[in-house]
Amino acid sequence: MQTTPLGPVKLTQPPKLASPAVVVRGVSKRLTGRLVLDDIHLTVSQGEFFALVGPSGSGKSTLLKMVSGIDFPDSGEVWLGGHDVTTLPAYRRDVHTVFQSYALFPHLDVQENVAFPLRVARMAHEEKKRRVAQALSWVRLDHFATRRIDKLSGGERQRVAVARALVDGPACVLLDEPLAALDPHLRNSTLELLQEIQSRLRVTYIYVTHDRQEALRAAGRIGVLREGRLEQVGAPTELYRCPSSAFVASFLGPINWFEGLVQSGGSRSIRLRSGQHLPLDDHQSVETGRILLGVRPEDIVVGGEQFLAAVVLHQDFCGSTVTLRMASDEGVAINAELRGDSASPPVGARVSLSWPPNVAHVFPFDDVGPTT
Amino acid sequence: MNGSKRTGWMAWPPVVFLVVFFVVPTGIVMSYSVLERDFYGQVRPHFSLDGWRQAIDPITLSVLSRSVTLALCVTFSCLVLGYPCALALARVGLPWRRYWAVLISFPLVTSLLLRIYGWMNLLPLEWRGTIWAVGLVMSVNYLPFMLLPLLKSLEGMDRDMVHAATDLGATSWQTFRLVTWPLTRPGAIAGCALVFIPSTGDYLVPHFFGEGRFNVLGTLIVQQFMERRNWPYAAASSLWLLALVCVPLLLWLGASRLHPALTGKMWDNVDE
Repeated sequence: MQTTPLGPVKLTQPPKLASPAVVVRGVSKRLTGRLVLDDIHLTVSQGEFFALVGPSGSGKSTLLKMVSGIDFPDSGEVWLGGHDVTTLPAYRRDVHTVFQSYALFPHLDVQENVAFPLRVARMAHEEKKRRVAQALSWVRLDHFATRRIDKLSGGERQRVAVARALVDGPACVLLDEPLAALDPHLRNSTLELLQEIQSRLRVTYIYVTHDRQEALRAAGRIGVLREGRLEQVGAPTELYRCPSSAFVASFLGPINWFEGLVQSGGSRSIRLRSGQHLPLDDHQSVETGRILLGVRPEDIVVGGEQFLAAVVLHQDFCGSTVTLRMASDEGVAINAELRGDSASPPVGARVSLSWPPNVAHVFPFDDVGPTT
Repeated sequence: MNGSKRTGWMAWPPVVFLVVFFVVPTGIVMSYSVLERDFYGQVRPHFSLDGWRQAIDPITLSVLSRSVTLALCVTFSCLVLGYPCALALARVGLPWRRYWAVLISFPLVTSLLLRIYGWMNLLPLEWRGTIWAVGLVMSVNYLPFMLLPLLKSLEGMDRDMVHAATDLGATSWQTFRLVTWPLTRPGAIAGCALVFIPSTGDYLVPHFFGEGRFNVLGTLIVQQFMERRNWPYAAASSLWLLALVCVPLLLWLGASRLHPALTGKMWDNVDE
């Protein structure tokens, strides 16, 4: 017998200690001719909050379906808790999904919805009632047991979907953009609730989102998917400060890109199209050719040293910060983020911009798409 | 409500149509059923309950029960045959699903008589004159009426429901029993009504395949009108048919009032 936070659970096999919750090995999937997943390798540890981010169409939801068993990979393996489940159908896997549309059963009320996994497992009535009450208490819907689904708000429905996925104590819960359909002010409190549940029950989360703020805030580790490939996997601070590619840097936060040429191997500067030169730090080693130099808005220093000059076009007041939207002499758009209480130059002023050493990111030239 | 006056005015043509072509003829049939039969088989303007008396005698009641049993069996077999068909068809992607639906419905646009002759050539000779052959041909004939409402209902069901059920541990049968069936029940009920109602009064199939060995309501009415020339009795039997049709209709209306929105679609989000 194994004691879990939900009470004793009878296992048919002794659990392999320290075996990862989810292992995806070389999974590829082609849908309607397009390669949606390309040789994905991923390991998620037990009790981990893992976020999977990427632009729309990058394969996030498809990867979730491979793990949950709703769809099957063309090649590769999926292992759950140390067992190869690649060919197992979804109803035999110890993984539950919280769908983006919640997928609540409209012909059942709240407690019947939450009890569904227990009902198909033919659990005894008393035990079922106890677990349903417990799950509803986790999501703070204790008094909603007999409500009909169509009488619930979006946030309440989402919490019912979460309770339903947790009620039988699965090893891993997959969340497919759970906050996407909620009002912004509700997202914060719901994300906090999800984090609290995750840490208290020590359940593994694989959390899919296209919102980088959610991922940076809540996740222990983030995986960035781009067109079916995992670009980088790591802790939020690691991905933010040491991105492995321009795409990852761009995806995790706003960044100013400067496109230029490195003319010779030992060169310590890059040459912009206008002929201007921007300095490279000692630790940044680059090959000759086209490169991208990226500087985050919060790292730009206005009014100090001059690496380049720009004209202020706009001031966006964002509460605790002010964003200056500027254009360099070449016409490159540059954003700088200043503290809300610091003196900011007026619109139309010509300012000098620089940045501290070791904050710029340098990558080979890559099409990173829109930077926001 | 803005358009209510205008829409009230637009309701008149169908109402007139209904009154002229349904209410009035039904009234005529009802009146014939309580008139006296004259020597030549038509009616005398004389009140008589003979027609009704004959309509509740044991022979008529046995024909009635046979008709109802046959209609129920045909409905049931259409349901059992049609559901797996609809489930398979719902999984086919568009536009092929539409093409298949058209293909299945195609026989309905051909002449029923021709199809009956086709079946007569197809089935073994010994099968003629049996009620089983009649039931078989009727089931095949009415299958599109079951299939199309079922398919519509299945299409209206959110696909995610089935995925969620499977994801939460339900086997295929459990998913069907606990999720698909309850959510598509309105479609199944509609299909059953659309099959049962014409089946009770079917004439052509029992006439050709029955070879006169047994009577169902449809053949009885035609027989009494045309051959036996007992119009009051025939009219009274027609009233039985009307009653048999109205009862499931009323049940269907009542059932759809109880489950108005169970198509499985998610409702719009309500702002908190």
